[in-house]
Amino acid sequence: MKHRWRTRAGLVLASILALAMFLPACSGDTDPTTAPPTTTAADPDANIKNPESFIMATIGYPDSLDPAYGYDTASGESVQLVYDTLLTFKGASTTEFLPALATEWTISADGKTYRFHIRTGVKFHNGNDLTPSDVEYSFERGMVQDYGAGPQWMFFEPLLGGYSSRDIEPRIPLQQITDAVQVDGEWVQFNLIAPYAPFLQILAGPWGGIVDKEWCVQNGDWDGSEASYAALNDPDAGASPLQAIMNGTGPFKLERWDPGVEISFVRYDAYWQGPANFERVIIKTVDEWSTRKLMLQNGDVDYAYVPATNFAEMEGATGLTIIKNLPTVTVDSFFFQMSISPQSTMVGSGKLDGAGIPLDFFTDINVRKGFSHAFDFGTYLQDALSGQGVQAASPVINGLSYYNPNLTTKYNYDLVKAREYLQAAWGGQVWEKGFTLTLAYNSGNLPRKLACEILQAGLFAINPLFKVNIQVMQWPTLLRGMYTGLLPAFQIGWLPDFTDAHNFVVPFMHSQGTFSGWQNYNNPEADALIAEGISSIDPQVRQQIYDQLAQIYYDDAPGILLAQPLGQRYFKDWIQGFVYNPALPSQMCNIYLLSKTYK
Amino acid sequence: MEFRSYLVRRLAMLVPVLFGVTVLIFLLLQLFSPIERAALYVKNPAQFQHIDEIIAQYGLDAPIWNQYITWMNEIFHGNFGWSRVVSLPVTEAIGKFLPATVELALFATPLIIIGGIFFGSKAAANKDKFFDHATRFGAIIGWSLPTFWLGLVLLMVFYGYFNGLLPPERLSTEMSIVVNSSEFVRYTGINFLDGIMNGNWQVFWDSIRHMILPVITLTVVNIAFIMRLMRSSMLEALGKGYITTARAKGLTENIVVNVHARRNALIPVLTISGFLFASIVNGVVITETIFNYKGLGWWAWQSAVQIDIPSILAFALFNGVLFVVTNTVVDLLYARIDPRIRVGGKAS
Repeated sequence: MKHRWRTRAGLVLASILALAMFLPACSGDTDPTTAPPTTTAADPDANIKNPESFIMATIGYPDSLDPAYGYDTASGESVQLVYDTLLTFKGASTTEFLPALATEWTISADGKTYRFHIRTGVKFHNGNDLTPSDVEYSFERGMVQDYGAGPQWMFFEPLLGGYSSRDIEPRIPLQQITDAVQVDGEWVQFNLIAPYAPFLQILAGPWGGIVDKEWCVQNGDWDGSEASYAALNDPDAGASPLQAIMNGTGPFKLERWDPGVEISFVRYDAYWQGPANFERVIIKTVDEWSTRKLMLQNGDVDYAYVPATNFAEMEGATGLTIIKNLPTVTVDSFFFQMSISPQSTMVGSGKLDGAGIPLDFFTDINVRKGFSHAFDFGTYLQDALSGQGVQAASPVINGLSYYNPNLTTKYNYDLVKAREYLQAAWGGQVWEKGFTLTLAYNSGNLPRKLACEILQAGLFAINPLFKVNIQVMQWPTLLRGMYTGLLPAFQIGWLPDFTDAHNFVVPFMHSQGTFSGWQNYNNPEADALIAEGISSIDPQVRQQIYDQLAQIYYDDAPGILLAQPLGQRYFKDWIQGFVYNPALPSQMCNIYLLSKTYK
Repeated sequence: MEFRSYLVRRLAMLVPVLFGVTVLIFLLLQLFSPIERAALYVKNPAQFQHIDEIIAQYGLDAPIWNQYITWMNEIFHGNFGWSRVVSLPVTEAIGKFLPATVELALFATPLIIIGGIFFGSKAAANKDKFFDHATRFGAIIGWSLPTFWLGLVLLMVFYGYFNGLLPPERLSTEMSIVVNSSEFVRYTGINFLDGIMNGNWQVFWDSIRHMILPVITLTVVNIAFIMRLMRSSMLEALGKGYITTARAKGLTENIVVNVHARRNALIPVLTISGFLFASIVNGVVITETIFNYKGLGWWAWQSAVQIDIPSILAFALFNGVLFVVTNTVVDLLYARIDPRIRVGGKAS
């Protein structure tokens, strides 16, 4: 019995193989829902595959489809297709806005009251009307849920001055949350605790997505009560009631989420700005680069994510539209550890005897400046980023508000200067005895590996007694090393939560900031300026502050700012209408604007 | 009666096996600090701020035995935890990714085993003749080809050069819309079977078309081992005294080889085949990744590199069951093939 079946399976396979050779390569018009395209020789669109769909092949997959919970770019990408925000970024700008679910807004003179007039006549995908109380509910619900590793701190900081609903035990009173956002007729008002200039940018992020109150409550989400607040606050991973269901007002409705594989959306015909060009949007996760590349070349996907290290091999590819020189809002840096952990195994002898470094090695500014001048930026840009990047002069990089293109606060590769500083370091002992330390990078990250090698070569060229060892680590191990001070210096990049200068100067320079905190870098002057910068509403004052901070970063050299990579986008040449906006989570930016045609 | 007690004994073995496996994994986990384990929850540098909170919330810094007891307790309540890598409950994740792998195993395993037995015995019967040399050459090639290289080359030829003839993934875009529509019932999650059950031949063919390359890849890289094993055990059998006797009785070479020798020669092959099937069901990471044919192997690999503990543990449990069951089936088949092997005869 079994045997017969097996041989039959083998036969079936063999015959299929034979058959497949004679099958037409493309089995089109099998989809009964779309009329077959009129194929005449004159129609340039006749050869477009899946004309009604926009299909992407990328890496990574969403954590959650709940706008208040997701904090990764893949989640944001899906959320922004389905949920509208009060306002959106205007074209390619990261600092100017267009009305969306709010038709207009006002900001009080003291910068503490934001009022939004809510659009009427908008319907959610389930047919419910959008009301101002839905808007109020969306933000209060987010703060009530306040997932521990989620984005809600962005609302707590401006509205309540804290960082989380659990800043006090067991959690802050519900009253504080509900007082922060209020309905006033057709308007919704946000009451800030102090001026917070990037507030509009935060509202335009995926976490600013507006949900339907009635539908949320039906699905077991916050019902407004204290008990429900206690029950829903800080959910376990994936435990949000909106984890895998969606109901927004956006151009697309969730069709199906196949976690780890793909997620698909269908057009919402009653969208308030008019129906989208695509009947479907499908985002596929394809881990293997070669497979993604073939899918793109075959036109089975309209867009594929291309890693920077593969830009070169895509040069001259046909049938594609390649868009280059897109500033990405991220910058990798070396961060020097001011107070290395005694447990560290990367400091050799732990003394300044040539065979190691003392734990406070980088507290001497001459060491930091010497290292900064010993880094060959030109080679780094060429080899690590295929020439697709620019050296950063400040943590406030291109794409952020208050980015200043005229700053001159860049270190240059200058071995003479590097030698001068290192000769002065530690009263001349560094020069005399040399040192040995170990740098680490995370496995698979080629640019970071090259950066380590470039620094190693630069230092060795100055003095053969300067020995840098390089070690590869798995990402979790590297993270632990950064977090607990085991690494003498570490390399990492930051991604924006919102595209305001404040969002970068904090992690890079504030004593409580993420990276600077790990580094044990503490500069009271910088802390004061950062606080002043966020609470000021005068753009000129803010510009001065961030330029001053750039100067401090240069003078203090707590780390080496490397480069801001320039991104590239690769899609089939039948995709039109791409507008780049680095503030949007999707690699495709605003998918609603895209169309599929040669005309 | 004897058979039933044997089966019960074999299944009872599952308990210590699974206990051992999970304890071992928990002990290995001690090599990771709470921060390393929290890395799984951090997908964006901004979340670094919350590491302490994550560690506290998920009890990552609790003593290892507490963590084990907590986990066991959850298991007894039917909760295997949350698979972070795909944002699904672990049991759902296994249920979701298993069909794709089973689909491949259903086609690849018989091809490998039957093909291996056929070529191996033929090579033994034709020792040192052309056929033997040819299969040896083929085996060496197949055995030495790295899976990822073969997979990529097949994909580049049959998908790239032949313009989409044999595509990656499990289904084409149109068919996956059909399969996920409300009219189509997903009985098994195995697309070609569901296609037959729904009477939808387009889905059936589409599924088969997408399976051809991964199945070929698996077959080519795995068949060599079975082939060579079959050949050597066949040669050993052919040198036995009873074969000489059979020949002396004037039996045809065909009967001597295919009946008398092959039965005995099959025993080691059978042992390996059980393991082969189990390890294919267990997931074939590289093949699944290259062809974007997401199955259990892909999921387990993702879980392992991200230290997704609940997923790794559940996968280990699943494997323990799979191997014990496969071994039991293999032992029962032994008795079928070789009357000398009797269930319960020896301590196994």
